[in-house]
Formats: sequence, C-alpha cells, structure tokens
Amino acid sequence: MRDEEPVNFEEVARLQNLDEQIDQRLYANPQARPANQDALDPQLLNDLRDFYQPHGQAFQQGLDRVWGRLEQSGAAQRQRPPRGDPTAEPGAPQERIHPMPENIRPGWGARLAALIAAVVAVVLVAGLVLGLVLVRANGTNTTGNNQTQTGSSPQATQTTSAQTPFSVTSVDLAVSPTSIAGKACGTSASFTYTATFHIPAGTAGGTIHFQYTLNNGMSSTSASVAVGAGQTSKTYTFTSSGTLPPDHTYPGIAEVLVTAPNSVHSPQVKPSGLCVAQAAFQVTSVNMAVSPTSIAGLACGTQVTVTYTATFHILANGPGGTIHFSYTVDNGRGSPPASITVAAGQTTATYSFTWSGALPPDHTMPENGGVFVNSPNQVNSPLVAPAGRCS
Amino acid sequence: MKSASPASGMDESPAAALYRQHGPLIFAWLLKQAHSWEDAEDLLLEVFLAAFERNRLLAVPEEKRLAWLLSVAQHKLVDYYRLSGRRPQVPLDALAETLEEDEARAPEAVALRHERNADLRAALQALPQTQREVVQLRFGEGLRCTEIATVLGKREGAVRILLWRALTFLRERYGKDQEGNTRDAR
Repeated sequence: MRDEEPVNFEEVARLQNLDEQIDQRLYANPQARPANQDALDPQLLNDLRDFYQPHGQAFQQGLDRVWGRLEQSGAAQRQRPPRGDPTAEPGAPQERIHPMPENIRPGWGARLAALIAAVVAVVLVAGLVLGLVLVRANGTNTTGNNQTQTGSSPQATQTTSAQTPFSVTSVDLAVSPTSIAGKACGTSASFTYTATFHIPAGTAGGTIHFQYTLNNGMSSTSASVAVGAGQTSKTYTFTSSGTLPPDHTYPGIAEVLVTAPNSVHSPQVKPSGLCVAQAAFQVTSVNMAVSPTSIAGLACGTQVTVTYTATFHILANGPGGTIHFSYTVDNGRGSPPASITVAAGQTTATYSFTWSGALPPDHTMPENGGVFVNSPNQVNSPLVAPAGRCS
Repeated sequence: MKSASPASGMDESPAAALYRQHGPLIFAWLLKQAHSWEDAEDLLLEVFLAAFERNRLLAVPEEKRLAWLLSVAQHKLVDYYRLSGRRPQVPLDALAETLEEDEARAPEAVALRHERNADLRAALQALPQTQREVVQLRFGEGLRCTEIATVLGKREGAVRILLWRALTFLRERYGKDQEGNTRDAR
C-alpha cells in the first residue's frame, strides 16, 4: 500500500464533510453495520476511539498540565481548566515532574511588577486607614451623615426591592427564507436569522451573552445584547450569505447558545428543501414559425412583410447565458449574426426577424428563413417559408 | 449543539478560550517535532506565555492567531533545538514503549481491552506511516482534518483522502478479522 497516492479531486469533493460524517457515525449504533460496507463503519470508528483513548487521555492531561502551569504563572487570569474535566480522571497528574525551564521563570520585569504592586498595596492600605480615622473623627459630630449614607447604599436598595432575577427563559430562532427548494445550486443566497430571547417580567435587565453557529457548531460567533429593565423579549438578527453548493452543505444548521446569565439554547433551524443541481447552458432545439403562413391568393407585385420567429429551447435548470446565432431570410445565402440573452432557469427564448418586399411574378420571394446557433452549442432550425404562390 | 469546544462556558476567560481553541493543534504539532513529551509540554507553555504576555495574541486579528502561534512555536522550537544538544533526551518512541509497558502492568480490565484491540493494533501497524499518523491525530488527539493538515504540513483535501484510505483499509482488514473472530466464537 503506497503512502502518498495522487490526489483525486473528485474524491476530495466527495469527502468534503468527512469529519462530520465520522462524528455522526461515532454516535450511531455500533451494531448497525452500513449496508454499503463503506469505510465509516460505526463499529470500526468506535473501536478506533477506544483504542486511542489512553493516548487521548495523556494528550488531554498534557494540555491540562500546561494550562495549570499557565495559571500558576499568572499568565492566564481565570482558574478554569480549558478543556476536559480533570476530575473525570482521578489520580491524573496535575503537576509536571520536570522543573520549569530557566527562561520562563520570573525575570526582572516580573520582579519589578511585583515590587510596584506591593508599593501600591501599601499606599492603598495606608489610605484606607487614614480614611477610617477621618470618618471616625467626623462621626463624633452631630450630623449623622454616616447612617444616612449607609441606608441608601446600592446594596440595601437591592435587598429591599423584590425584582425577578435576570434570566433567559427560552430562545426562538427563525430563518428567512424558510426554504431553498427549487433554487439553482451554484447561485448565491442570503439568509437572515432572527433570535428572540424571552426574559421573565420584572427583571432589572442586563446583558445576554451568547454564541451562534451557522454550521452545526463547527464554528461559532460570540455576541451579546443588552436588555432593559422590565423588557420581556429581545431580538438579535444575524445574516449569512454564500453560494448554494451542489453537495447541499450550505446553509448549515444554525443554533443560538446563551451562555450568560444562564445557559439555554434555541432549537436548531435550517432552511428546508434542497437546491436543484444546475445543468449546462445548452440549446436543445430551435423551432421556426412564419407569418403569414401562406401568400396564396395575393396578387403578384403586392408589398408584404413576412415575419420569421425562432423559438430556442434551452435545457432546464441551466445557469443562463447568451445564445449567439445567425439568421437567414434568403435560404442561407446571407446570414447576419445576432444574439439573445437568457436568464438562469429560462427554458425558452424567441427571436423574430422579417423580410419585406413586393411579391415577384417569378415566385422567387419570399424565401426560406431560419437560424443557425453557434454558441453555446451548434444547432440549426428548420427552414420555413410562407406556403402558396402569388397569382 | 455540537461544538469543538467541550468546556466552553459563560465564565471562560479569553485566555482559556484561546488555549482551548488552539492549544490542541499547537501541542500536536510540537509533539511531532520535539524529542520528548515533556519537551513538547514545555514548548507549549512557552508559546502560550508569549501569547498571553501583555495580551499579545488578543491584539492579533482572530483569523491570524493560529498562524501567529505557529510562528512563535517555530521560533521556540529553533531555540529548543539549539539547546537540546546540552540536555539529556528521551526519544518519544522510547516513551511510548515505557507507556506500553506501564499499560501492560495496568489492571486486568485494561489488559482485556488490549487483547480485544490486538487485531486493530495489527491492522494499524500495516498502515503506511502517514496514514497511521492521520488516524492517531483524528482519533487520539481529536483534531479535525484542517488541523491535521496544519500539523502535517499537507493540504486539507490530501488529509481527507489519507484518512479515508486508512479507514477503508482498516475496514477491510479489521472487519475481516472481526468477522473471523465472530465465526470462531460460534
């Protein structure tokens, strides 16, 4: 088996969502073997996960250890393990055996910062003590200001009011348009998602922090909205634009996950339907019609105008384009060029041209008319002419 | 909601979010480059200390942060290679052997699991080196194809194909072994 084989681009396209397919199969029933015997056998994937579990745990513990050291160094401000749960692995080593390298021990800069911090702390404490002494001195007067101030402190206000705690009870998520059924793949589309946060009545308001995803959680964006006091709902709108791919991987599943003041998530939404695969831009046939259909009964020498109408038939679900052709009113001896533009999805287009003149007694006019399509593909119409002869 | 950030939460600091987002990839890359697991951890620590110093990384546009971290990791690695001649080294392969010996002495449950995985281990050994690496990075270290491509310095499409071919091979080889075992058991 060769390690490096030539890359097959069709294969790449087919495996566009390999990660997601693996994730889906990992959580499928391991006993349910796929009928087509493909490589993503849930049993195999689960066995691989189990097989690499010790390695994965060691990897995670390594990450946790480094995070612990980052926290100890003060570089990471918050005391929260970033990934995994150390308590899930009792006895997992949290401390490195090896000493911290010399070049990451606190240097002069860190020592200077510590010294400045200590000086600031001393100044603050001294200021506090001085303030207390002054306040106590004022308290010996008969103004009573201290008690009044204490009674109107924000803390007391909070305890005396009976406001409902600020929380998000639910989140609705809607998408517009709701369906992409019938739209041609390869065309661009734009979607507007509206999240509606529901808040209980009687809260003091606050800020809702949340993340939203447009691709089933593979990536997410953080955002927040401010809610006023007493407001019971708040909306937030976000949009997504892109090209509808033929493999139907866009638009993906969207969801909103509220992270603060509490955790709650919206239903998953996705525009329904699938885009329609685009066909090539192609003229399948051209029909011709002529008016008048007959000149029988007209006197020779009569001035007439003959109108030839070409109807181009275009392959359905095409991307549209320009049809380049030439037409003739003299049985092909002369053929001036012309073109006509059709829109995506358009299946027919018409083009008319005329011949005018006196009907000759030798019946050589009007002659056959028709069109010859050059692009996007070559196709000729039948040649048509009014029936009958002048008399 | 499926998420690539299992521990993300409302009280997560920006530093924790950055570490959670990029730490695994940088760590996997360093494990591949460094002489030992411990060295990889030390280097990872140095990279993120540099990143968090005066909020340097937060000042970098989000889409450029991974490239910035990889660049720092490369510089740290160069320093490490320069110093490594003066340090005693334990190759990762030797460490792996030690780990396997330790596991062999682990409780019976672990041994039983290893027995069950013997066929899978044999099938994995038959894989070409790069395919085996891709499988390990995907299932052991939990990286996505795009991250594996960064670690291995390959294109994402090529990684997908390598992974697909590895799984196809394992499905064929390991699947047969499993069916054989099932028949034997009957």
